[in-house]
Amino acid sequence: MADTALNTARSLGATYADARIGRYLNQYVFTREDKVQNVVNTESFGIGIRVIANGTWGFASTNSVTEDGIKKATQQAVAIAKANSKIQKDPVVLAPVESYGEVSWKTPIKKDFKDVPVSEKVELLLDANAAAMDNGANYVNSALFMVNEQKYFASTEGSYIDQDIHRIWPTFGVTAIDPAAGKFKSRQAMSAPMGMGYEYMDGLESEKLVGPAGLKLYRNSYDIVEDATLAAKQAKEMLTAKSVDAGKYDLVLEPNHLGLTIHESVGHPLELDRVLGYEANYAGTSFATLDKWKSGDFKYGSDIVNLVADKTMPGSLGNVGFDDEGVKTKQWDLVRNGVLKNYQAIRDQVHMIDQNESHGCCYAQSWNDVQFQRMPNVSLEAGKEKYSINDMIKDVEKGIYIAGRGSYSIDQQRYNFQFGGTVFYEIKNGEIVGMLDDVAYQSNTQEFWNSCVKICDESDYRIFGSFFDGKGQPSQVSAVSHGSSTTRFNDVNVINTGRSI
Amino acid sequence: MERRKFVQLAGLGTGALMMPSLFLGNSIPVEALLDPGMDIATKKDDGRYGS
Repeated sequence: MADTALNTARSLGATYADARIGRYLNQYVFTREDKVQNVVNTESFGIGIRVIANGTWGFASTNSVTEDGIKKATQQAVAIAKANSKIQKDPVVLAPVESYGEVSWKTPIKKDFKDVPVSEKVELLLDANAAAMDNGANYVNSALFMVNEQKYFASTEGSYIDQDIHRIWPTFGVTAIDPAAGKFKSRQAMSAPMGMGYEYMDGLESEKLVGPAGLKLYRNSYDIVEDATLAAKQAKEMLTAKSVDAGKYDLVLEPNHLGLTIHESVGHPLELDRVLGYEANYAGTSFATLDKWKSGDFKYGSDIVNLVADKTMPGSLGNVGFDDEGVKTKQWDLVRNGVLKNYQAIRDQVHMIDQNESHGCCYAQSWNDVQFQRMPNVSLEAGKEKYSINDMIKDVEKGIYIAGRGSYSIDQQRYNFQFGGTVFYEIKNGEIVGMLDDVAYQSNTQEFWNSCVKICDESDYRIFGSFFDGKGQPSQVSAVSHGSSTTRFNDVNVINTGRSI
Repeated sequence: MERRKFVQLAGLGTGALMMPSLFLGNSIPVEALLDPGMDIATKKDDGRYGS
């Protein structure tokens, strides 16, 4: 089928063509308290064909995966390219890519979610809900998202790439109410969406870490019942937690929290299309302009800040063998020793930053969408010296420990921002003294990363992820992870989000 | 599944309302998830063309 597209494109004058045959299988399970709300099984199957004709991109897709259907879609893609070439100023320049022949790649899963009965998944979620309710929750909802992308890529460069990609995201929200005070508090799951199979739900003791104040933290295996139990207790505790005194604090940020800050303040501003203004209409621009990168000494962060991009980290959402234009995936530096080193770019972009090798981060959410540059995993390297969470807490005089993601806001250049969190604990003279509420910190990207003074070692390294990161017009979603160890930032401005004006 | 209902159940942000319906796909019975789908040889070449 793919060869039908490639040969048709060639015969119509295309100088390049690729075809992606995609079968996307999804299973979602939703529950609330003791009830199943929905079980969803979906399939999407079709082919997307991208061509270059007259130096211009064209794209078309069809769910008629037949010789006739593919020929028609290819003809449409070439016609679109030729029509658009009349207003194209400069021809598309593609970085060279290796011809890989016939190759395959699979997410290294241990349990395929498709082999696990729905009843087992429902039972697990209802067990988690019951645990939350038994421990003081008034409401709880939980969900399991499971995705299998079966993707076949072929191009006129001579690659035929078959990939079988799995992702999973268990999550819940627990709410506790205080009717007398008219208050409610919610605590979300401390899970991370992962590029793993159903084995992520095994709750292995070997993958658990104990954080400050008895917080349970999870690495490559998640115990949803245990987390729901603690979530209910913490939601209740939040109802009477001390409201934070606004001011400057040293922040100790847990990876499931810091991942979102990395995503928004490093991942997005270093997307090259965003830097070039291509995303200005929808997602915004970037403060990290080309002149800063060209200077070779732009201090994005302090000397200990090393931010790397990759599509190769096992267990991560971005992990694939090849991207959606047939480039073998890799790791590269974005920020090294605090200095801005590179962006995220694909085959038709890297020549704009004087490079001749794609970074391998091209992705389309389905066969029906054209592939474009998407954020790879962007992660903060762990500290080199042995240093634990407890060591870090002991070294802080006046600070706040923040775990889990919360509400946030960041400007369209990805510079000025504000982040909340899931749970907050006050640190005084090296000890956790109690839970806080109404915490959010404000900073700007450069000031924040330059205030980074200490990073825990590899033993604390964990992954945060976003299952539905949005970008582009028409909008597409993508899944991406961000790794880090617990990290300290000094003298950050903390505001009280509960204050009456 | 309707997009609005999916977003509501999933507790996703309003940005997820932009997700195209094709992202969710067509509803299928659970056993159809185990269908192996089109084989690789067919995906590559329909036999009418050389590669």
